[in-house]
Amino acid sequence: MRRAHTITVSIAYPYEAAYRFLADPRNYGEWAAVDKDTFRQLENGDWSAETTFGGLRHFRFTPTNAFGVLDHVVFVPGQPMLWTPMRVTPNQEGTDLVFTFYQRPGVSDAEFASAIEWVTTDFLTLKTLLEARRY
Amino acid sequence: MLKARTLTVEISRPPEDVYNFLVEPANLAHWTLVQNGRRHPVAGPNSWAFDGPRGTVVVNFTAANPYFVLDYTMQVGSHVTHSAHVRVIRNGAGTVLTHTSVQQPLVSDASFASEEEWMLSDLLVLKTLMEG
Repeated sequence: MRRAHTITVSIAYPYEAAYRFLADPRNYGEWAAVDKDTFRQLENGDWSAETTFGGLRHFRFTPTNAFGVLDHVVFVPGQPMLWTPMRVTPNQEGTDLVFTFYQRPGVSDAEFASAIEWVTTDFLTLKTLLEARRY
Repeated sequence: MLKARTLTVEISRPPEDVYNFLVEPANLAHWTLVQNGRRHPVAGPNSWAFDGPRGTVVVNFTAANPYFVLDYTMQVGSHVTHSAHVRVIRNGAGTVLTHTSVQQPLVSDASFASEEEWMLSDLLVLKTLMEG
């Protein structure tokens, strides 16, 4: 089993609106580590973009569901797909976001720790973005 | 917003096995201190009553679903004492279980911290049971 690290972020933005925003792949480029201008949908329904961490990647998202599940996979076409678990849940007038990050084979502990910091930064960007939005 | 805290436990067992075990409410008695599970339809279609160390508790479970979500609330009388969001997630051939508790309005910080200690110890019992 890979080592797993889970991040929980509290966001002062209502759950329904947060889920609606995050479940729409078109908004992914607003907060994730991709070049927004290159983010586009492919014919097979997947998405594609240049990432800020290096190189072109494809993306596949979980269809809309009643559980706030937002799992998605960032992959190089033809290589194994490692789904990233992500979910939002209601918390009074706000939202909790839970994200689990895996240490991939060949990634050292130091690289994993660094990657966790980068991912945490993405989620703080998302938190700031949502908390500044109207709903 | 209420405080949320996530516990993560890695289990060397496929997620289907872990989920199928946990989605059956009666199995709660195998790894926590509650006993004598029985349906409690008055509270809801997926609600069960158990005998706990401090009397009867009613647990309201999420119905079985393809996302392996296992949210629940626990109540004593009409008072919700505990609310948590749980997921069983695939990690290679094994499982990661994430358990996010939300501190309920009348629960003190000290009680919440203590409950989380108990919850972690229960989850480690679950891990041992599933891996045995």
